[in-house]
Amino acid sequence: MNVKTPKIGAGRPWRIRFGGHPRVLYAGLSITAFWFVLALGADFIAPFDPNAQDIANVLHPPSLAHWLGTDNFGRDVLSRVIHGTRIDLQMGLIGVFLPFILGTVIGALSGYFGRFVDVVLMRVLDVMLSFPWLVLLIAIITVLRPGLGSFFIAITLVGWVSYARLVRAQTLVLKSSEFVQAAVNLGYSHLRILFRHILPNAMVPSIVFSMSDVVLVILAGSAISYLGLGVQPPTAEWGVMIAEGQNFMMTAWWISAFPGISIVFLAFGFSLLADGLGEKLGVQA
Amino acid sequence: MTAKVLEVEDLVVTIHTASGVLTAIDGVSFELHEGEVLGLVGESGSGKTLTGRAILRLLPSRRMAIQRGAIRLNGEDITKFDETRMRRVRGRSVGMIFQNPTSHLDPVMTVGSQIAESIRFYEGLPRKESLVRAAELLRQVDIPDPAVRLSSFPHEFSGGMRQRVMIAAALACRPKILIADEPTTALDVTVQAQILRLLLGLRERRGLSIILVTHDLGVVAQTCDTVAVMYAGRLLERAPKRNLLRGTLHPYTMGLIASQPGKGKPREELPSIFGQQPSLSDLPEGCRFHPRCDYSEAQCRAAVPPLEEVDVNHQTACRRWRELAKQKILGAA
Amino acid sequence: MHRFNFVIFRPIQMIPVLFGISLITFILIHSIPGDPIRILLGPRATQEVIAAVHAQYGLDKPIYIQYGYFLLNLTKGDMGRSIVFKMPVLALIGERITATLFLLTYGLVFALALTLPLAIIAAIYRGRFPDHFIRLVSTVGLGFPAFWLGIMMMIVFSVWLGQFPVSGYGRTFVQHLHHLFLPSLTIAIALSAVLVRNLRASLLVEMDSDYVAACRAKGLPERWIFYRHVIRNSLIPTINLLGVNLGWLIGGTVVIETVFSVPGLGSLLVSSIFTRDYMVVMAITMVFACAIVIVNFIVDIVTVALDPRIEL
Repeated sequence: MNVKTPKIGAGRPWRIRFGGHPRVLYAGLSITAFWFVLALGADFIAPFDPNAQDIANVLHPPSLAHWLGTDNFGRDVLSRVIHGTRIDLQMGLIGVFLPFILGTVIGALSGYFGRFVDVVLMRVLDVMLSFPWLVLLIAIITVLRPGLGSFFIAITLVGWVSYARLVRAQTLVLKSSEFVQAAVNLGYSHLRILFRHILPNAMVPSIVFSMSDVVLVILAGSAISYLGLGVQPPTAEWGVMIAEGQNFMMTAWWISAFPGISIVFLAFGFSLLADGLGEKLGVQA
Repeated sequence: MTAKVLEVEDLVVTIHTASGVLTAIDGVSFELHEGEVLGLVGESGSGKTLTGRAILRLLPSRRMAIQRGAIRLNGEDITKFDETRMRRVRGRSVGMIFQNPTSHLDPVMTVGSQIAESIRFYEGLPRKESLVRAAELLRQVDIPDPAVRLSSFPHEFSGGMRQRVMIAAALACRPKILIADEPTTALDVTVQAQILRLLLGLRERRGLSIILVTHDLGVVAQTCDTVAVMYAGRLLERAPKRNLLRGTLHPYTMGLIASQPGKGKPREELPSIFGQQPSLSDLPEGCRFHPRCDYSEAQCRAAVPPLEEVDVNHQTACRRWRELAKQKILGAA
Repeated sequence: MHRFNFVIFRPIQMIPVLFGISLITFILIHSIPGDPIRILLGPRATQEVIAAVHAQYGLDKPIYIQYGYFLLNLTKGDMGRSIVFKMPVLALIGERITATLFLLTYGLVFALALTLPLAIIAAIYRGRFPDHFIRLVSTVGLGFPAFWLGIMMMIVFSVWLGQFPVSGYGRTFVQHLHHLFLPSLTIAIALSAVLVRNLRASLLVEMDSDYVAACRAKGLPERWIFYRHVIRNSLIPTINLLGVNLGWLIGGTVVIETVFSVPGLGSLLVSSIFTRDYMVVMAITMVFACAIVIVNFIVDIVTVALDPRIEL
């Protein structure tokens, strides 16, 4: 992702105002809202128990009874997709939130206090960015043993880099800006200046980036689960379902097809959110 | 009297915006003779740059259009030309150079190729021969070591040198007319004079006619033969340079001349015309200058003043010029 | 040619980065639960034998000495042994790397073949239907999980239409092309989504730039201006983006090789995790990281060659 320097105006641009008609933003909000409703209400919306096996109804194509068909254990694909929303959405949100926090703190401290810390950080970033992040993710999960918890630890260890870089760059710019100099002259403490004055503004590009990062993390999470390193069967998770369906792709395309379409549609929502938010805040991520 | 090479008649350019159609250039007429340097003068937003671009039919936005009027090049109305024919006019009959030479040159192409490319395209010359021609052009615009400099990139040149390169590129296919849009505004004063001298020299050697778009009456005084003053999309006065600078017959031109810095005029005492040029969406009725004019009266507000022929070559759009000249406010001292 | 001096100096600057890569890999190897020697020797090894091998590999020494041994071995080209394949890891990587390189190159060619026309069409028809359509498709494409896309393509092209094999690599060049068609197309589609959006945006910026107006004033036709000026200027940021996205691209091939059972480094990486062949996992991770460092260096050279303004 190439991130251009955002325009920083006076005031507090991180406070998002939903005025005007940013169609892209609204479309993104509607799509993500749809998935949130599905995730929260999965127990009420899903027509079947996602793990209920029905040996009499194995590998049934989509029909009126089972809208998206059934899998090799006779489980209802629609219900599993709906319940999978919970896991994948959770993966995307937690998998962005943790690196966001870690990266922001490191980036802000390094950009603000600079000197030795900053030099070390820059070298660490260089090294971290040399690793293909999915491969590093896999390597860390290998060490930690496969599972959802390992995925979160690994994504935090790998993902903080982007946020640290963004926040550091912003902090450097803001540190020399007039309103921060004014705060320094008023004798405010370093921590107060950093957290009350600089960070809220420095986080704007990270917030926009985090929306598109949700897409990357969901893709990575489902890929990890597909490879068998993340969420374990029989849990209904989209990547796991796609992997299970691959064994039956000769006869039952629907087992793999629908979870994938769900990933695409969920990711589309967050991509639009990122585009719309970036447009609104004048940041290109 | 030399031959007319270009004649603009009643040119109207409109802009389509969300809130309606605005008129950016409103009934502008002038002519250009062989070997003449015509200064098109006005504040920013007066439509002078747009007029220059309209002659090449290169309006900066798709929302703009030539609504009416004729642009006659050697007697032929080019507003009737299709795009293919129009392309042959550009560069071959009429060349153009721009205000900011840095952004108007392709940063990743050598200056030699940029000068040579229209020769290659129009005359089908192979690369080598076209570069020989490019070197000759660089020599004509006084760039030292032209053969070596061919393979330089624009960022390796100074601002004045880049403007020279742009002039060379514009003249590559030997146009007879050159439209120079604020060619010296982005340059240092000393370099400005060099570029203006170069343009005048090229006029002599190539029999070039030049339309010089500028806001700077100093530049006009140094170079032009004739001056046309534009304001809010209209032509207010047109006269030979001497007549205009020594005996203008329009209050706006008078204000412009008075606000030029010059000898014996300390900067802080410079008079300026009060107010601002009106925006295109909110143009005043009648004479467009009347809200800022010290001498306006009811008639000025009521009707659009025609461009009146004062002398053979002198026209003014002020209906009170006779009175004001009598009172020694306007006109030659 | 002083602008290209960095070609000599950059490799020296790359040394600390390579050092860091080796350090992270070493830390990862050390964090692996269990005793690697025990795994290497199998369950029937006696305590004495294990201790002897420990001493032989220097595992009884302090950790920084172990790191020293690790680096020393790396310079000798020794990345340890694979317990599953019973051979040096480096030799194993050498066997598998061709398929991965083939797949990456093939995918990249496909990606360019998709990106260039789509971005150009979108930019030319800016704001009209083709543009909206291409932007929509590429935004949707951002969220395509490569592994799922691969399976869908298998279902359509292999199972339903019977056109391409679902797995393998083949023996001859032509067979490679045939076998890797779907995997590389999958990679290309996922990559193109990012590239199309970026290239379209920079094309639009360049098409509006002043030098284009100046070219028009010279009487050059739109086509000429577009192909000789606009595209070249627009490609510079896109090539940089390609370099930035290389890590992501390699991650994609790991998954795609597994989906299509391509015998490359990626599928070896994943299968080694399940066979607990940890040295292989770490060695491949390190090889990929070094590859990225080198390719970014190449991207820099290309950028400098394309853009005369850049000095590195």
